[in-house]
Amino acid sequence: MRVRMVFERICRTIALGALAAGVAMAFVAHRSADAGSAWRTITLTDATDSTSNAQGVLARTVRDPRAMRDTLLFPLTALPSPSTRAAIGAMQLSGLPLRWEDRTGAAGMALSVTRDATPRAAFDVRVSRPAAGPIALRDAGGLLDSLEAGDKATPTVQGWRIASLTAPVQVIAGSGTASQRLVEAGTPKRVLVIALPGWESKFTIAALEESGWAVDGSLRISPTGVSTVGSPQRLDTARYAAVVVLDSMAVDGNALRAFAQQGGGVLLSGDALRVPSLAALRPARATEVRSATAGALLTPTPRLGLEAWELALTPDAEPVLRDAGSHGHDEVVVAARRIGAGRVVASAYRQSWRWRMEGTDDGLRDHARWWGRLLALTVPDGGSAPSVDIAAWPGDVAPHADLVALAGPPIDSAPPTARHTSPGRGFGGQVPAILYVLAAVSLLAEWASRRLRGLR
Amino acid sequence: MRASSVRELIARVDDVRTALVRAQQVRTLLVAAGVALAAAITLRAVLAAIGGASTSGSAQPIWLAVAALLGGALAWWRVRPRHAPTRTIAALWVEERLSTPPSFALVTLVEHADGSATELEGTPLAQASLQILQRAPVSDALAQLRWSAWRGPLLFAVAATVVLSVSSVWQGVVPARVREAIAGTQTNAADAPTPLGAWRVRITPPAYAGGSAQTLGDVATVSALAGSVVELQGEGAAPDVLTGRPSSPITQPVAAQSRDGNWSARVLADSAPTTLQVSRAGQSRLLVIEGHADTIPSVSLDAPVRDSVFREARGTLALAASARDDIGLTRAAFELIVSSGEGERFTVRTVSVGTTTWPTSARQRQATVRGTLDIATLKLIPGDIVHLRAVARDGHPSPSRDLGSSETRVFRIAKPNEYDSVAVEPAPPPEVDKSLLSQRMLLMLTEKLDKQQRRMVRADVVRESQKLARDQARLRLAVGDVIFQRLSGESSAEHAHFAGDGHDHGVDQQGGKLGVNSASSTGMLEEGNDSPVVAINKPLLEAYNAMWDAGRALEQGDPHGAIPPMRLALEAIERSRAASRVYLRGRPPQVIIDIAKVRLVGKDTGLMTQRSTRSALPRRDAERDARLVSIAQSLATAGGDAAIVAARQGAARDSLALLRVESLSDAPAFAESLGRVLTALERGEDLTPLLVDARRTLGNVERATVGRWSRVLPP
Amino acid sequence: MIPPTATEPFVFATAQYESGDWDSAPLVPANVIDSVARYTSLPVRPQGVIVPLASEAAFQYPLLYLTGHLPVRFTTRESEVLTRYLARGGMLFVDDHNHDVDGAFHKTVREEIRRVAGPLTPLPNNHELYRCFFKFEDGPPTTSHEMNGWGDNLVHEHLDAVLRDGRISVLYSNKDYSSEWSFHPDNKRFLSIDNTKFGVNLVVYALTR
Repeated sequence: MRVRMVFERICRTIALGALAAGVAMAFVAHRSADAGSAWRTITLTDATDSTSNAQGVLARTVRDPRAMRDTLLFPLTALPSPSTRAAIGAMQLSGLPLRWEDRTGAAGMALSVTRDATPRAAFDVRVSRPAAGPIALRDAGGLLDSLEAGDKATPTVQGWRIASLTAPVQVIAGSGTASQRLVEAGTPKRVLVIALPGWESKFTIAALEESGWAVDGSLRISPTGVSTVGSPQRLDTARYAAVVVLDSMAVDGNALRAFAQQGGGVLLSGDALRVPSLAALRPARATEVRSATAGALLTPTPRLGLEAWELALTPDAEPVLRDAGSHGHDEVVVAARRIGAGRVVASAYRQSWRWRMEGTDDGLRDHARWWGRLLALTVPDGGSAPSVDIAAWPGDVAPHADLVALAGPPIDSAPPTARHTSPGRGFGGQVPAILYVLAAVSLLAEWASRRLRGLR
Repeated sequence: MRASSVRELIARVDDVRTALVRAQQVRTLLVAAGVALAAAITLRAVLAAIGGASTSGSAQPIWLAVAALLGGALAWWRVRPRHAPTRTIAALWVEERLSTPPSFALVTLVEHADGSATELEGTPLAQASLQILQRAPVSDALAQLRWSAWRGPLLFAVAATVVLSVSSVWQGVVPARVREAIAGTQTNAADAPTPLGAWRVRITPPAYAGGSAQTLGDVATVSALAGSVVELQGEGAAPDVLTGRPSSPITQPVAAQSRDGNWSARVLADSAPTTLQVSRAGQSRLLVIEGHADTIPSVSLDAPVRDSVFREARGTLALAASARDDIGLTRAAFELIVSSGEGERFTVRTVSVGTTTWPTSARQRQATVRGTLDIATLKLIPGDIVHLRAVARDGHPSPSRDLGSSETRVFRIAKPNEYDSVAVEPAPPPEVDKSLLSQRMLLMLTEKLDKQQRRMVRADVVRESQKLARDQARLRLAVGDVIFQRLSGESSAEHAHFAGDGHDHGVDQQGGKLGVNSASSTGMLEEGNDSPVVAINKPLLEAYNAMWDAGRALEQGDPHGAIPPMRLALEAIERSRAASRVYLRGRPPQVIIDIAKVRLVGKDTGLMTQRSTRSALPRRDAERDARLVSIAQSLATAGGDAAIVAARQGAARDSLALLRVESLSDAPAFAESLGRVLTALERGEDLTPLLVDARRTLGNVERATVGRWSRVLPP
Repeated sequence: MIPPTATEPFVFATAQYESGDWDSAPLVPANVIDSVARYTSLPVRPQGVIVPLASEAAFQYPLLYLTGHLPVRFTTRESEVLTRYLARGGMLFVDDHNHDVDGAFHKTVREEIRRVAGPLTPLPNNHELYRCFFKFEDGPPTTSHEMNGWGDNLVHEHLDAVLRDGRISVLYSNKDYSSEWSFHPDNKRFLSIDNTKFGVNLVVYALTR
């Protein structure tokens, strides 16, 4: 019995001591804060998976009356979650003096996933990767691809063409994650092929149809005989996504130009680049025929096995693709320019059907894919508006840029007078919570002991 | 009272004690027996509930006996009498049976009688004890004790025995159909699904392939040779079984047989993948049968190694071939096709040499066949061509079964003049039969007119006859074209060339008919210095002349008279077709069309036509990727009780198996990676890296160059 | 020097195979070329070419003509080239010069076709082939060989074909167009009806479908 009484007294003493220590520490901390610098460092151990913790820290920081006086400094080693970024942005907007230090290494990180209005509607993925860091591209099904750390000191852009994705798409670079939740596909329109009957028109139309395009066209076989493909109608951007001109023949250049001005795509391939009526439209002038490299159709660079025009680009044209030339310099083989709201793309190759017939066993697929890609370069973006996704935060596609937009640009380095504050597990982050836990446990133990003895 | 009396008293107490001990022991045994039976019943119920997956029918009694023994032993151990009643306790029990309060005389007597029974003889204690024993209703009390001690355990054991017996009798006597019907009713009443349970798969290969039947356990995918019988066996009520193709929604029911609490369903495997969807009580599982065809034998001809030309149809030719088959060869031979003839008239015969046969049971997977061909036996004549190849057949019973065949070697017998005329250009075939009413048709029409002329007016006969005469004349001119063209290289030269025009072709024109002149009696002509030597087609000349006669008769309205020369002409044309013609492979005659001259001179015009559209190639890779992701997400979904998790895993396994079998033909690498995922799923291993690998195999992700243009660039 | 930009002309190609008499109808190419020029404005080369079936050169000619009287046994190389040729979209027109379903050519070439392309099936007489330029209401035009009862003494009512993705991959004829069209094109002036018009449909189908 005596032992138990001694125990109870010890418990009581511990509880009182802990309370006293807490009060004293709070008092001392308050005084020292009042007397210290105007910079106050708030450490957020916030990665995206401990959002609630970071939110708690921010909430306590805001409730602290000193927050209005001090300049809050967030040294960030990881990009905060969207809600934390939003909270920081709200603090900034509400007038709280707030700066952040960028230790994330995620500057320049961004993700773009689009789908063009083609039948296959493949995913066009671009990632701006932070300098010199490995990145991983994922979707709901898991890892899609990863890249080793680059050797460039500045952000670089990496591209993917992906046939099938399951949203959300994420790119993870270091501690940062950029994500996009929904990717809408546009509704594809039809394609008009203007060509003479022959193997090139036959196999080009076949390649487009096999890729899912609905193709219109008229192949004139004789003065009275015409082979009609689909149901060709007047050029109209509501009906046609693009026009493909294959041969040197009489073409209404004005109609094509108007079509392109209104947002249609025009693809001029091979001998079509020599059509005089298309001179004002074409991104490049065909000068001379570069002969095919014998046997190249069976190599990993099959395009070299096709005859191609040498292209002289117009001033506003953009070289899109080059082939390794025979004289040590690259030859532009695909060029593009914008005309009004539309795009005009020139492809230098002649008789591309030989790729399909005379190439390797993959030639058929590669030929169809080539034409699909060429056409995708010309067609406008998908017409449908993206669906509204409430759960998605627009800034997720570029979280670093989002943080800059919300919290302002980061400071280069922390001021020397800045004072670190613990991440805060106690009251106001100033008194260790363990003291109060200790007091409570001691009091409980004493109370339990007394009750077991029959006392109140 | 004598001492023996005391001993008797004690003996009687001992009897009581023994009775008490036995009562205890019997009770213990009854309890143990009851528990043993209950254990057996419980185990049987458990096995029935889980579908008997882990035990086959023959092993079940052993497991039941083991369970009963264990249960009985445990019960005996627990309820065994720890302390057997002593003699004193037996005495006390006897005294307690009296209606009066116990005097403990018997107890005292028993306690003190161990060593000095004689001393107690005649003592009041002994007498009192005797009275107690006499008055106490020991027998009744023992009976009552036994009843009360044994009643409960006995009832328990009997009930357990009855339950076990009834269930055995039920299983053995009542037809399975009735049991299932009752079980089904009860299931429905209780609204609790009966688990589908595990199955066994038995594959019996087709008879010709030999081999024994193979029994597999609870597998999701089996591989079977086309023609194999795949039998699925399970326990419990017969489920619904549907068969179909992986890529088609069309299914057909398969009759499931039910017997002795087991069910079975059988299908015939073919050369394409088949699925069996087994459903019972709301649960469903999939068995994928990967049917593969029996490949035809592969044959290679080792000798002769190259094509040949023989000067004479003599000598021997060594033949050798090797053949192999996946199951077994039954026959191999060398097949020769002998083509005789020229131009457009050929006779063909097929000869087999060196035929070797093996019985189906021999399973001859590989063989070398040799033979010797005596060329003289083929009775070849110059110009004959022989196509030689080796063929082999496997044991497949289908009459339309393909033969495996080797490359073909060709040898021919040279013509005597072949070596002298190697520069001869191939000549075009005769053109007597092009685009005109043929001689055969004219003859038929003339015969028809001849039959009808008695019923016709003469003027009509003459008119019809003259019409035929004009056709006959056109045909004759065509034949003339051929003759002159072959002689001079010009066509339609009948009017320009005639005998004595100074341009001697070796043909005389004699009153409309043609004849070989004396200078050309050998049949070989020399035209100028630069003309090739061409043999005159004498039968064609005869035909020409017969046509002249026929045409003249028809012109005169005498169809009957025209028939004999027409028959002559037809026969001559036939001979002409079979006439000797030097024919060597080489460059065909060079006819170069003057495109500009003939461009669009045709009177007929083309139509405006609609080209049918090509259908888009299916997006298999993208669709498969989406399905794989869906499966991965389903597997990654946490939560739910064990049954739901198991059902989800089962569904994922079925989906994976389906996806795998669909990809087998066109994406074998993807199918193989899915196979690895399935194996890992069965083993409960981590699937993540395997799923990532499977997706990568699809090749849907392609790195692309990014330029300033707003689209990712072509590869 | 800037080369001309005219569309490449159509070239009629005859398949040369190791076995048999592949060159049994040497005037057919000239006749078809003549008809193509005569009725259409398609650019066409004035002379045909001969392409060994065992050569990769076959891939340069997406329409190939094959005929003969003798047994046809493709070599391994020929089978391999032909299989790839057809898989890539080439079209093979095979004509039985014997016009005989009991003939060696018919029996052997069909067997070879089945191996490289699959079984031949009857081509309906309302197929696009019969109306893609000229209209042939009753399907393939008959030939004088059929009408005269030569060869197998049959009038074949339809052609056979192997279809691939809805397109004719192999077209097989027992009608003996090889005999019917094997005459000098100059002789067309003597014909009241040009019997080579179906050849134009064949070329137009191959070039546009």
